[in-house]
Amino acid sequence: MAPRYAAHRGGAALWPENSLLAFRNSIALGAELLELDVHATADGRVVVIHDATLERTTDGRGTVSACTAEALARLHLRGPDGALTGERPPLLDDVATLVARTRVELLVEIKTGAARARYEGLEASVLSVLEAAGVGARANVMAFDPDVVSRVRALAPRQRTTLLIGRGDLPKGAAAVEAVRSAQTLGASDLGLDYRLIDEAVVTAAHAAAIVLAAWTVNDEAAMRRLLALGVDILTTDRPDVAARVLGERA
Amino acid sequence: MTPSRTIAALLLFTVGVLSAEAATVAVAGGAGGVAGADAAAVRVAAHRGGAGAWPENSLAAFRNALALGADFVETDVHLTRDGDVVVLHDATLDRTTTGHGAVGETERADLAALRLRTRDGGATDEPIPTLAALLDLLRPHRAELLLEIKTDAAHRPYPGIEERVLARLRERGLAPRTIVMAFEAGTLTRIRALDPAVRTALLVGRSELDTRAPDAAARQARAAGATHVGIDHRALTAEVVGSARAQGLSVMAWTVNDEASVRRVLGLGVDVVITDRPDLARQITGARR
Repeated sequence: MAPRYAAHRGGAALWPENSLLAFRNSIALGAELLELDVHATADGRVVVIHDATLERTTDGRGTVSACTAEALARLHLRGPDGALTGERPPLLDDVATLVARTRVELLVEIKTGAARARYEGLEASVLSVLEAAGVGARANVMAFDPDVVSRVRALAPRQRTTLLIGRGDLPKGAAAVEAVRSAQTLGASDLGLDYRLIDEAVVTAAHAAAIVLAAWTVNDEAAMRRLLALGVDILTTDRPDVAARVLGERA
Repeated sequence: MTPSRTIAALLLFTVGVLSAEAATVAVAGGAGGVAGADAAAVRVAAHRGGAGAWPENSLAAFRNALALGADFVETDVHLTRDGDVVVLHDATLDRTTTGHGAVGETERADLAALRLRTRDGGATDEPIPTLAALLDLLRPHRAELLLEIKTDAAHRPYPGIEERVLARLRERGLAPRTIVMAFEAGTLTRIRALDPAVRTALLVGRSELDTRAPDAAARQARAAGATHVGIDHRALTAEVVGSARAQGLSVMAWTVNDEASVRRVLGLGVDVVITDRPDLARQITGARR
């Protein structure tokens, strides 16, 4: 399959991250995959936001999980320059509805709470929102926490899933190919690796195990070219415009 | 039709359907709109291709602006020493390119070796586009062109630039889709003398308007034979818009970037919003439809 790119948080270097504006613009630029992050609200809804706290990306304060969906809908999102915008934190329902009318795929990362605690029941809520919008088959549920991936697989064995692994997640001294084994053991269809961990051995191991390999978060053109030459399947990037051009050159 | 062409045509069709879907989504999903029923005609122009992480007046910027649904791309042109029309805002190369000195004193071949810089000064792979390259990019799209003819580094009109701009537009059949703009009435008079059918816009700055009667811009534009008047949005009032309407002129507001200002000029009833944020303006005007 030809390599593709995913607009990370909708294209966080260009627009307010995880905003409907960012998702719409990335779709308009031709992105085939949108990456986003979800947390649970106090009233059990699924909200699209990266951090477990509100300070960095909104004009609110405190933890996301302490707020109702209604309270979150009143907040404003900040742009890449930190300035407040007219955008509000969307619910996963809003993004699912947006992509339901396109062919775009969703990479949904299930986050943990402020103390890195797993949100009880968030996996089921995410799956039900995706199913309700009819985009379950076009979604891939991702997490750093292997427990979250296992629960998603238990609830929906056919759901595509991604185990995410960063530089700090590998045991000291472990080779990056260990990450491939972890994904395989867990039954994840995809492995999302910090791009700095990716070398020829990782790509070979992933493809031998029939695991789709995604590299995050690649914003630099030279790094994109290097990863494409190595054979990664998905470039996750804050600069969908740059990735579109780099991939376009190969076409 | 060869099989490979058939496949290519199918692919093109698919892309068209996808972008049409995206456009529908962009409009339907717009944020809360402003009240008003007559906004269907308001159009959005991407100023220098729109701001973003991409360099101003680059082919990448124009491509992205078209993808984001701009009705017009707005751009600026200068003449090289050997008489080619190139797309660039400043009369000098220093701010937006890897080169130095005046555009008008540089040969086109030397410009071709230069690269554009982003807003934060980083060099990119993007060349300085020729007007011909921009027109080729624009031709398959529906979007129109707002083309500002600039003056040289000493603020003098480039001799013969009007003929050359019109020749390029005619070669590519884009004259009917272009509005030629200038701050200098003489430039518009020359364009009209060469081709009375081409639409023109007189640009008027805030300082020019502050010191005069509200209808000064409209009278000046009318005297230059312009079809449009393009006014700094901070100087736009209901009186200024009213006087332009009384002269039969269309009104363009530049450069309107924040949401409150976009809503204000829409409320005044302008025809074209020139903005660094076509995506945002599109969302607001879309919501009005």
